[in-house]
Amino acid sequence: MTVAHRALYSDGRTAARHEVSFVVAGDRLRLLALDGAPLDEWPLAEIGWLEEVAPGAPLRLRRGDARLTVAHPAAQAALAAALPDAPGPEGRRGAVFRWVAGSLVGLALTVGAAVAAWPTLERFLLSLVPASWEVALGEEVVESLLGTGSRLFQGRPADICTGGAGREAVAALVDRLAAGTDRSYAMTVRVVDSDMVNALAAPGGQILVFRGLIDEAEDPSELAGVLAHEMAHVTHRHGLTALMRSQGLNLLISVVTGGSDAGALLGNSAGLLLTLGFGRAAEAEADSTAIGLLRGAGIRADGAARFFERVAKEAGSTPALLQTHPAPAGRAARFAAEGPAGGPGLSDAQWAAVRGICERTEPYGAD
Amino acid sequence: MTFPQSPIAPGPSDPGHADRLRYDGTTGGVARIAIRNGLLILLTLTLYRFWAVTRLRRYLWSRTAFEGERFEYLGNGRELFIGFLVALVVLVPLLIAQSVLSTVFQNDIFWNTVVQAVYLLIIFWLIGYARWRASRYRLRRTAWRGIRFDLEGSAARYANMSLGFTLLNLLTLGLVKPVADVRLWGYWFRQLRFGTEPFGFTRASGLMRPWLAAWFTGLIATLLFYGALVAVAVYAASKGDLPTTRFGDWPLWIAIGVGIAVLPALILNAYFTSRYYAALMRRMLAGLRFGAVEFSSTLLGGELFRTLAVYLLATTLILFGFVAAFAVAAAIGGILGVLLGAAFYIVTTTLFFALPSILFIHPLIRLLTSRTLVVGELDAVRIGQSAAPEPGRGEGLEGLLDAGVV
Repeated sequence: MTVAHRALYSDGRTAARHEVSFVVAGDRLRLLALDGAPLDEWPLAEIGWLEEVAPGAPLRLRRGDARLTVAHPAAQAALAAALPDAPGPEGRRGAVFRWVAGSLVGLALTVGAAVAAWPTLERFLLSLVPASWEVALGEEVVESLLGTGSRLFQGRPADICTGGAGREAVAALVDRLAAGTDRSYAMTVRVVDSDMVNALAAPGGQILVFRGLIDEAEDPSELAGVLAHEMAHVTHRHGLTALMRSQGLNLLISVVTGGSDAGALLGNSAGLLLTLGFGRAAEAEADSTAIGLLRGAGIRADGAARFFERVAKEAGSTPALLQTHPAPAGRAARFAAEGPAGGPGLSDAQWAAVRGICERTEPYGAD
Repeated sequence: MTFPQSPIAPGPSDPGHADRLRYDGTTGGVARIAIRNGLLILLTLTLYRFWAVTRLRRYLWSRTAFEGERFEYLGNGRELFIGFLVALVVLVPLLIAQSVLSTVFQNDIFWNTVVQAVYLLIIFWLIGYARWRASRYRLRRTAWRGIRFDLEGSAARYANMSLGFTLLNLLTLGLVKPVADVRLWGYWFRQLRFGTEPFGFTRASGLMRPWLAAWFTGLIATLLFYGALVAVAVYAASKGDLPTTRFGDWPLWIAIGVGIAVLPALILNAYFTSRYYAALMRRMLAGLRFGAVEFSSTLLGGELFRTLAVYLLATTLILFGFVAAFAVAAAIGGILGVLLGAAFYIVTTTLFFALPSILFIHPLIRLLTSRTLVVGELDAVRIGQSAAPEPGRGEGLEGLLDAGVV
């Protein structure tokens, strides 16, 4: 015996709603008015669910614009049995998965293409930037590090060491090393009166050496090694490159994630890892150029090896993966491989003057 | 043929009954969807967000019923994803042009200002345009008894109006906001269609007083905030050099006093702003018609404020809890600490995506539907199917502009 169930029916042409009964007959759903007159016939293959089936909620079927709402449990069971493969609201089963997976693959391909095309694009973009822009950028960087409002120095301008003879000696050392570069950047060095054992190169040729590093160095060739390394960063335009990469990455991340805060959260983690990776490659490149500069200036390179080894030991146990200024593997060994050939770089008198360079200081801006 | 005896639907419709518009979504139901969505958004680097919002809408729509008939959300994630891709094609050249031009003119104040101004005008215009188009998409993907809604009118016209009011608001320091809200929302109401039948909107007035209360408290909160900043700056700049008075470091006391006053001022402002929006809702719905059907709202500002406050407090507490959990993980250290930290990261990020739906959108819909009254007989037979085409994509531009890409 065929069982007729009751349901609510809208035909999709008007917003009216009728009570109807329905029977499943073969591959069709037959809709009848309450007096038994036939209303409509739905081929089972054309029927879909309006939303996910939820316990307690009415079952809603669609065929085109027409709707059938079924509330009675027995009627729902009859329909579920007749329509095991009816497409849900997102179409046939798995449609969502295919689209999400497809867009993830698309994302991977886009990112892959961007990464593959990046070196060429980067060279092109770098060639567009004149050195004068880089110098201006470098001045901004130095100003933000040392000027009023600097976070490093609690909002006061940093003290710059201006001991006369020491300054001349450092300048002479830089000039000797710069002879090996193509001289497209005028290299200037400031010694900052601070305990930090650090040195950095701003784009355009401004190099900052912190006093802590001079105190830590045991002879002038160690200082020369660090200076050569920083000058190599300048000639390779590493600062500008890093800036361009982080800007490009930010654009890419905000585009992919639609700029949401949480997207930025995810992006920051990825950005940090990429930056660290770039840092390591750039450090290695700067090291090999620095060895060339030292050789050209006739300064022994094994001083730098000693210095880097000592600093690495004192830096302690931070995992190499997480250092923001990562040392490439085998750095000290590469410098050491050059052997003891060459001089110290400065005379004893000059070195003494450099050690005492911070006996006179002036605030940044007045130096 | 046999017929089961149980009723098939709620009793006969009762025009004018408060329960004509009902929302029966549950916190648990929303939470299940929102948390699953949050986790998938995290795992797919946010790409799942289009399918996530679709899934949530389908639940919210299907839990909202008029005369016992639930609404339908017919959109799908694919359309939103395609909309996003198309919007990128529009926006990325604009972003690049702005970035290149401001680099070229970085030392030329006049042309740099012109570039920024034109860019901002384009963006503000696009925001209005995108809102209209997105709203039209959602309406065309919303149906009741299989009959679809639609938004006629012109997105460009709405964008012009919206941009004009934005500029006027800037010039008048926000005093024309009630006029702008009524005009913009009124235009939306008048262009609204259900099937073949239009909605109508007469007028709304009497909003200046509630807005002035919100505006004034906002002004006080702003002044206190900047006052506190100035006091702190004076204190920092003059530290040690101040003439000693019997009040000690008086700028510090001013800074502390003003700083303490900012919070109540902000709360007061949130309360009066809630009252304004409740009044806007009441007055706008009172002017809305659909054939013989009329609408009204009994929403109170206090109710809106409570919903907002509960959401903000709960979110703050939960997130603070996880910050504390991170601190514990960091203190434990080692592999266990890293694993715990990663787990907390996943949970926190998931909640970050899920909480607004669970603690704000869901309670807000419950509040708004329970406070909305619909009276008058619906002549359902007269309403035919909408002739508007079904949209193949949507919301891309709005998604990008609202999220603050620009």
